[in-house]
Amino acid sequence: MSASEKILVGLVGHPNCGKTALFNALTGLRQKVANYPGVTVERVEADLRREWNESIRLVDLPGTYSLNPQSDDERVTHDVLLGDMGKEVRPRVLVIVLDATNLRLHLPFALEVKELGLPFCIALNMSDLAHSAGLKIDQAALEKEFGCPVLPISATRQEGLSELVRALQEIATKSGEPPAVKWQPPTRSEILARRKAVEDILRRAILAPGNPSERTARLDRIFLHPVLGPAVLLVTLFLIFQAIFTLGAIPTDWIDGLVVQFAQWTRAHLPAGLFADLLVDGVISGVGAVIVFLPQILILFACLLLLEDSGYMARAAFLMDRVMGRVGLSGRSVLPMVSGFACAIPAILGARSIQNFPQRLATILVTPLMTCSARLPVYTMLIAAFIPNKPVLGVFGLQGVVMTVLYVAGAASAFAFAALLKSLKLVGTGGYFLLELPTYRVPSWTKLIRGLVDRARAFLTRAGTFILSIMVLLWAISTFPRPPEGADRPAIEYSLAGKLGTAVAPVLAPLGFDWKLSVALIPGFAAREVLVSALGTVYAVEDTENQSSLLTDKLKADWSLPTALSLMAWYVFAPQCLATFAVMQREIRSWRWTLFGFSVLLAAAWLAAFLTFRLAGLFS
Amino acid sequence: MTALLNGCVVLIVAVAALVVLRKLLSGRTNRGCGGCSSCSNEKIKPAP
Amino acid sequence: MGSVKLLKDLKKNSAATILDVRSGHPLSERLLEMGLVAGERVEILHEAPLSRDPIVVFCCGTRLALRRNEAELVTVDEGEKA
Repeated sequence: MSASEKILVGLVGHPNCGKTALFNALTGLRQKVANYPGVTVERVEADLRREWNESIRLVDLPGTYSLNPQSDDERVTHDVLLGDMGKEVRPRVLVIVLDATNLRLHLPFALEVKELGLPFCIALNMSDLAHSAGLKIDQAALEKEFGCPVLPISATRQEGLSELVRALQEIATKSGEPPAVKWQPPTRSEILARRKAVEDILRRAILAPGNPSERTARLDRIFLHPVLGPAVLLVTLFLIFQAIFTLGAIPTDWIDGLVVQFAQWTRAHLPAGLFADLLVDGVISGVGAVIVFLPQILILFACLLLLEDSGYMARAAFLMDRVMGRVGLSGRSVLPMVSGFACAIPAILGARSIQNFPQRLATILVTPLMTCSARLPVYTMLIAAFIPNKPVLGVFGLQGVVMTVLYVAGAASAFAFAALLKSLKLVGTGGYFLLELPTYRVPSWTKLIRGLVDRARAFLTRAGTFILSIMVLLWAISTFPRPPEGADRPAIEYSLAGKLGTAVAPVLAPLGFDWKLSVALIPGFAAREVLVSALGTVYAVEDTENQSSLLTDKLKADWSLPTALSLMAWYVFAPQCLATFAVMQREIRSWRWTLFGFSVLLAAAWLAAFLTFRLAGLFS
Repeated sequence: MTALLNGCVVLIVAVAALVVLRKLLSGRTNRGCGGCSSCSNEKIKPAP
Repeated sequence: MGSVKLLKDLKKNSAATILDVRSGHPLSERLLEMGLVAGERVEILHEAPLSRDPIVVFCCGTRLALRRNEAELVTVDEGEKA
């Protein structure tokens, strides 16, 4: 059965009530879930698991407090439900997902959705938590009030799902064309009337109110404490960066050793010639240079997943709102910016949940300055090659401290950019901050491991396809055309890459970048971490005799310290990831702003690298 | 033998060029991020 | 009376009953939808460091973080026990 013949069932509900967790459980997909309101910002469709039903297709929608949208993610839900996005994506049946532990807050939305006239059923999610809190809900009474099946479920524990599917099947077979709705924003009196109606319903349907857990209140007294709160936040972030460097370095060294050995083994067992050069210099040096950073990237992702899953991220948003507000951002900018440590692209999409457009625009423009995981390989390689691992203050290594400084520099320049936008009145001012703080939850270890496996797979797939291909091409342009007979300089200087590098080099020479680094920066625009691979390939092609040494040793021999520091400064600012700007353009729909963001970052990168190179030159 | 291996080199370079071109032209650049699966959405639609 | 004030002026750890949410602000209706309606009890749980803004209020079984600017929209009565 093709997708268009299936019956589309929409999942709707408040932010953070567990729609995406339910969607994942019902479809077998692994869409991102976190304990933070507003993680899903786009509709996602997938078929229900085969073993349950073959004629139902589910669509997960961004959470919303009402059908009257306040932000672009909520507008997606509004447009899909009312058919403004086209008939094909309008669901015929709805599952209204409610948090069973707080029906008073969630039920008015169910009443509002009911008025759309679509057949629906209600899933009381987190019923396990409601049960353990001693809350008793009269399911039959709710069914009578709403005239629909009401099913207690737990999406994370996968309880009650087959009953839910059975109910859905029954509704779906009777569903027809969705009725046309003339929607108008609800008036004040309508909102109040619904709330009153809910009080009546609850009087009949709540048999025992139960005792909500005190855990969240207790934890908040620490995490939101005026003094302890910010201290905990700073220490947490510092520990994450230390962990990335110190913990990550150990497996990284093992993988590095393996890559070098594998390169030597390959070289020894293949007849000398172009083919061996391609495999060793292009593929193994290039791809190997990137995959050694897998452990560090996984540590970073693990930390971010734990922050998001526990419910702490919303607290960080609260603690940071004042600082963010000073520079025209909002507490809601914290989640996109922190997830920018992973990758700017989902971070820019995540900014959709910011209600106020000027705040959202500013967040999107500054997010590329947050140190994303693709910069990690570049920093790590440069630090390992040029920064001695001296102890600082007895406990921290100098290398870890430099890494932290680079992360702080990224975040600080994001703030500075936002402040600049605000002071030049380039984006509007004002704006607000309104965020529900979720209940704390113990992060699920299986979910964490599954998330890390997914990321490792995505990272390796990318290294094995896209980066591999770029490396092969780079090897080709560094090898051809071949040098003339009797050439006295290294072969690479006669190649296309050599000519390209010498052409670009004058612009980058004031930064202390030589032509080889200039060549390597070019594929870096496709993906930042490719710089490391590209250097691996360029240096391997240049120096075929000395295959045994590590890239870091070759760089140490070839570059001065000011050059290395200048490259670090360049990487803090440089708009090296074109995909980020493609997404930026799509989100803000303005070439003007996108080009503005790109040029500001490019200029900042050049200036910062120039100043660093000159200053470091004075001292050394 | 050398000719065969050199033939392989040409083939590999050609395939690599195709992969990169396809990636750049497909508009799926949103997958071109640091290797995370946060944006596993097949196509990211423009914001309304 | 005399106990009628704006939510933004309510002291930390003190509770009050909501009387009204002023309309006209883009978030007015949203505050209602998030449970801040007349008759509901509201309590200030936390204040952000230094500037004591934004605040976290407990209302309708959930915690909301909002700036004092938005809290200004809400009138409360400290005296009345619901």
